[in-house]
Amino acid sequence: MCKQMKNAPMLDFPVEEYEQRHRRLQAQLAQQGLAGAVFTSRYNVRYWCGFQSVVWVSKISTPGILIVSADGRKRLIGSHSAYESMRYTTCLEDGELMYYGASRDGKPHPASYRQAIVDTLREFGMAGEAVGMELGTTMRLHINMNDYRYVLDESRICPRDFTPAIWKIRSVKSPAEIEQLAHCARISEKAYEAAFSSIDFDASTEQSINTAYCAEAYRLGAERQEPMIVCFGPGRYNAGNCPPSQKRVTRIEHAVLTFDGGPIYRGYYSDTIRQGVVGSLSPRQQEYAKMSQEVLDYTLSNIRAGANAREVMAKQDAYVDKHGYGDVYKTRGWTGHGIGLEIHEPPTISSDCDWTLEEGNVLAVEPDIGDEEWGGFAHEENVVVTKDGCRLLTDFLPGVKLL
Amino acid sequence: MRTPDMLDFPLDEYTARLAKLTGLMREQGLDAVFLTAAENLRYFTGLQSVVWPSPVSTPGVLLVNADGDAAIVCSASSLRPARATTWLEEDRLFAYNVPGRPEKYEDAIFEAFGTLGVQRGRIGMEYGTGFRVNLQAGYFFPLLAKLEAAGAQFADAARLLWELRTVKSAREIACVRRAVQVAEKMFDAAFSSVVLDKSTERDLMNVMGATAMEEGCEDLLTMVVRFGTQRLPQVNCPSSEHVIITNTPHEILHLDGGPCFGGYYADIIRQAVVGGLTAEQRECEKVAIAAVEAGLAAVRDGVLASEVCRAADDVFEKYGYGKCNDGPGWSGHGIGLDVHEEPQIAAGSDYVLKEGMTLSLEPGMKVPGQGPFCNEQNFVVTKTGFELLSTMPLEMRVLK
Repeated sequence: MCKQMKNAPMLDFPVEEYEQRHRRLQAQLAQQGLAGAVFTSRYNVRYWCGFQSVVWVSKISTPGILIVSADGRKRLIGSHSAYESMRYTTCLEDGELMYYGASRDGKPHPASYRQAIVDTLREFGMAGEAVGMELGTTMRLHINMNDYRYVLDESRICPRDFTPAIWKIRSVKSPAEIEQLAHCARISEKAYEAAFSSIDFDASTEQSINTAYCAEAYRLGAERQEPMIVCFGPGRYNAGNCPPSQKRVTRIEHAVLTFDGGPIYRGYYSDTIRQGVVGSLSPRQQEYAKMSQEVLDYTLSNIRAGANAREVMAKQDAYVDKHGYGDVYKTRGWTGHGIGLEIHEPPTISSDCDWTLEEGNVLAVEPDIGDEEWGGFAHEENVVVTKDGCRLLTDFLPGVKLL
Repeated sequence: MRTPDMLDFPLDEYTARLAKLTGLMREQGLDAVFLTAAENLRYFTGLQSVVWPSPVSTPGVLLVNADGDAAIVCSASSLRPARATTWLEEDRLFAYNVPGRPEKYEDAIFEAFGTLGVQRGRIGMEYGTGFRVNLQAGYFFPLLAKLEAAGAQFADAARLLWELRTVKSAREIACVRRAVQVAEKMFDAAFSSVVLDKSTERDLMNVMGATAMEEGCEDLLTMVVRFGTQRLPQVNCPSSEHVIITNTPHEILHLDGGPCFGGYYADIIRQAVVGGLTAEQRECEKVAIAAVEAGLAAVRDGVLASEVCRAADDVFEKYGYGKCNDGPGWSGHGIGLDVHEEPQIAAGSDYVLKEGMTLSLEPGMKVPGQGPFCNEQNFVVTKTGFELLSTMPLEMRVLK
């Protein structure tokens, strides 16, 4: 039986949202016969109790680990300095918070982070049992490796990869989450406008354009903004996941400017691609841009609850081949990903993802048609999967801007 | 070694770092180090990638052997940023799941260990204080198993890595200096933007974010912005959208954090007060300022980090505010590619301060009924003392 959850001044969502998440968590724990789960990542900890901290980026701080047992007990463990932030940002009762180190309340406290985790696992009956953890290849453990080894040795838990269950739960976004994703998308659109407006030939660089986007995103209320991909012109068409460089934007007819990424609002990402071309599109580029748009429309028409991600991918690949663009198709076999509290979440729209889409999945779909000479033409939009199709989180599908 | 346009520093910066690394490895009997932290990848190779935040991404792991031979192993798509931002030659950038290479990441990494001749070696790992292994467990543990089966042994390289990263070169110090300058601009902009009874904590975060970006920073910390008695206790809490900076005399606004310039962080604290400080508050402010100044006065090459901490703590005790000390036994930390680095300015630290270390000192107190009183300074250790990077006044600005 779950303890009553409490509202908190900075809790992201109403308490009911977290209660629902915990019901689904308990169902997964029961299904897999686990004694409980240990969450270390900032995203999982925020998802299941709302905790926010500025020190997740630190490699020394211990912001918070959330332990949930199969009988519904919860505990968020952190340093004493985190304690009041836990009370201010989470849905947990005071009795579900623990700090380690020197006692400030006359009661004994575990001496260290690692000990607090071990003590809690024992107390919750999870010692020696199968426990769900962020193992696998789709999440990173947020814990010092020496501490992790100590916890395993002392508690004798049998860690099991719980990430498929975590993704199954987190991939279905509630209406409240979708609202944040939509708001984030709206911030992004306005930030793009500012970025494009900032372009001054021979003066602007990839970095200055990125700066214009990011600064505007903050002004519009983004919670965080990670560096965007901003690539301009031949020589940068194959830059991939490179941060923006100091390359200048110059009047090279047909040169392509590609923007990829988005801000974070209330923890939720947006991830879109917007492009500009200097002067005009060449005939070949017009073909690529048109095809890319058509491919996106086609793929979005195949997205609905019940569709299989792998099959959506196969259909897109077949469509591109059928229309004769197979040789200039840059996203064969992988054309999109889920998005939420993290930039890349399951399911992927890819040939290796055997996933039945569900209502509430939020996807970033990004087909890309092009070549080294003329650049890649990609549209990336974010959509919510619905019963009969999908709904754009952005209000419109802009074409390629002429610079 | 190549010199792509986007490499952070000239090549000699990296050759110097690698020379120190291999020297220490040989001294400590390590055959190689295996690095996964984004900061370590950038420090030794210049690697930059926008996908580090992604939970599924594999932008790169770095292997360096005691002869200085280095290899990055990454996804095929991450080869491109590796080429664009690192000095490594093509024949030392290894992808997985491409023709001619293993399908699995851990197998490709294991193969790279072989290329560098260290599959049976003694490998330094990011196990100790100040590091987290940044490779997903589903790759990391199978890799360890393969290496163990091949005869490899593992040792904690944390201390070795800190010996390198704690002492900054002139170019690194320049980056931290710039980051601190921007931090002060951010704080100035934030304080100046306050419209009492209207601005929220979050508004100030947004002003600081925009400022950091416009000053050429690539990123910034989630800033601490806390206003008023109700928010006094929530250390390390982000800004709230709901808390308005109200025209309540003597309430204190607390800002903490900084931007990331060229990969290097600043981390400062400054405070402001509505209307003005009361006489008691002014006394508290003097004590807090005295604490940070006493700490700084103790700084020089050769002094124990713990001594600096004690010097600050002693001031609180001396003036009778010992019980109000926010962090007895912990007053600061190294700063660089990570916001928190060794040495920690802490009672339990055995680190000796060295010329070239960049540090933050943030002794503070919470006085019931009066508020928080804390300043955080960033500085460089010099032979005889310190160079202060954060020269913004310590006295609280008055918000009207």
